[in-house]
Amino acid sequence: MQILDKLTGAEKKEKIEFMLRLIDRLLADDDLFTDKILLMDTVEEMYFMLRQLALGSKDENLLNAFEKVAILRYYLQNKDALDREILKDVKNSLARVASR
Amino acid sequence: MLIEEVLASVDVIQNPYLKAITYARIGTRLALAKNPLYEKAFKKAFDAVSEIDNPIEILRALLTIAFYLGKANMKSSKKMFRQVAEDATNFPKKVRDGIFKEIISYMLQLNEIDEAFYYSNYVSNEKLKNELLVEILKKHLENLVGEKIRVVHRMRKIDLIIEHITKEPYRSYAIAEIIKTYLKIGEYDRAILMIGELKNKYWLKQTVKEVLFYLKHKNLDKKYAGRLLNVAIDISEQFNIDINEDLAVVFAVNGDIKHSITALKFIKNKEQKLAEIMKILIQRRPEIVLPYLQALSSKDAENASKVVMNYLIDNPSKEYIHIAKYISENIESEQVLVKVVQYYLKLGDVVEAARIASGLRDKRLRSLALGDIAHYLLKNNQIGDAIDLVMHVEDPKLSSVLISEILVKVVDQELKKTSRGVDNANS
Repeated sequence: MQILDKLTGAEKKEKIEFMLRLIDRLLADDDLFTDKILLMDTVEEMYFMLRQLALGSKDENLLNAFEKVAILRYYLQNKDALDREILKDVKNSLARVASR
Repeated sequence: MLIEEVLASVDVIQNPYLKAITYARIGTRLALAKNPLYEKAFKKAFDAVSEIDNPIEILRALLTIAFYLGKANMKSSKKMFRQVAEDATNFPKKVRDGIFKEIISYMLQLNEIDEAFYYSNYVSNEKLKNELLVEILKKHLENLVGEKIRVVHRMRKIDLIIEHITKEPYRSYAIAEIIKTYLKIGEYDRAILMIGELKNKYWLKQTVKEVLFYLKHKNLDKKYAGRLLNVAIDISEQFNIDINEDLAVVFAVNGDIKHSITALKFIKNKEQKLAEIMKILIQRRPEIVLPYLQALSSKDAENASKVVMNYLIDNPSKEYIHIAKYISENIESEQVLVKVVQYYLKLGDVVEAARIASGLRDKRLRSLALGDIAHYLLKNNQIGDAIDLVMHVEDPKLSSVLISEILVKVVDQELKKTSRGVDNANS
């Protein structure tokens, strides 16, 4: 099963769709993410997930998404702010990956 | 009077579709203001529809009028929607789905959840249907927050809707949304129970995390953490979704060390996973590393310390000196202590490094540590101290290497001195 998943890219698709909806949640202005640690951890999670996907990938949109999430993470770590515009950029890039 | 004039003027609009909508919009406003002219406005809207020649456009226009009737609280609205829906079933699938999508969107805007849910049955494209159901569910959940009455009935409806959302990733997302709402209305037990419905690894992890943090803010995490962990472990075992390590991380990041270690017990190749956990902790929550090490059994603490020290050596910072200090005092493994020596050297604290190195009993390891220190001294041109140290290195091979290095270094320095002397003489 795992081999089949890998061949068909099911795992990649699953991850991307997870992230797309996770971003929706982050953008929803919920008091759920008022906790800084949880917010950090969630962005961190996306960062590592995207890094793993972007490594060795030639998909421009995917690389773009990774680049953006890296900037997002930096801002969050150093300026303590979630930049919604960048988050939207990540979402758009990911949506283009998903539509392939 | 002016209003009548306006109604007459709408006729200048060329596009019959737009004309119909404009009449309908005016009709809604009039009706809400209890102005009897509303009837005329809506009638004119229907007249405009008859000018449209594209059958799909006609249905669309009728839907819009029905929507504005609904906004004006007219009973005929629902009847009209039904009629259009019935007519739409004669169209090919794709067109039909498009029309039902519009109907549902209007229904949601009118806050008619039941109607929207009813129409979702007619959507033939599975993906679209799931997507729409998620929207319906979200709207329903929105209404649930803040409304205390008939919550039980409304929660039953949640179950009904979620039953129809069968496709991933929609289902997991929908469940995550439900859990969020349950948390908000204080149904913590239900929220935790609902986690059991998640079959997707990522959502499971994310949701457990969210629930845990939410409960923490309500100061309820102690009461529910155990139950939360049990549910998560149950699912991961039942469906073979391996998230125990993630659970251990989630609880650890939350500062709940006790439950993190409980989760650790269920992990198969514990050593490796523990290493990963420590790596994440030191990167994300360094303040938890120390209490975590204290809570681990001595053997696990040893493995964990190794990972922590490796990280500290790569990222030497004074910030973590208390962690190194704890490790040097409490971990017996001399292999780990050698790493502590290296860390102190990176910070430039030779005295502390030498103190720990001299305490090592294993000859080979002590030689190694002393060698590191000698190397450090050499690099900083403290040759005299380096020679003293090398005298203590018992490993003959290592001491030879070091002595060789020291001697070469001495010659280097001497030559540098004399060449400078020559330069001085020449100048």
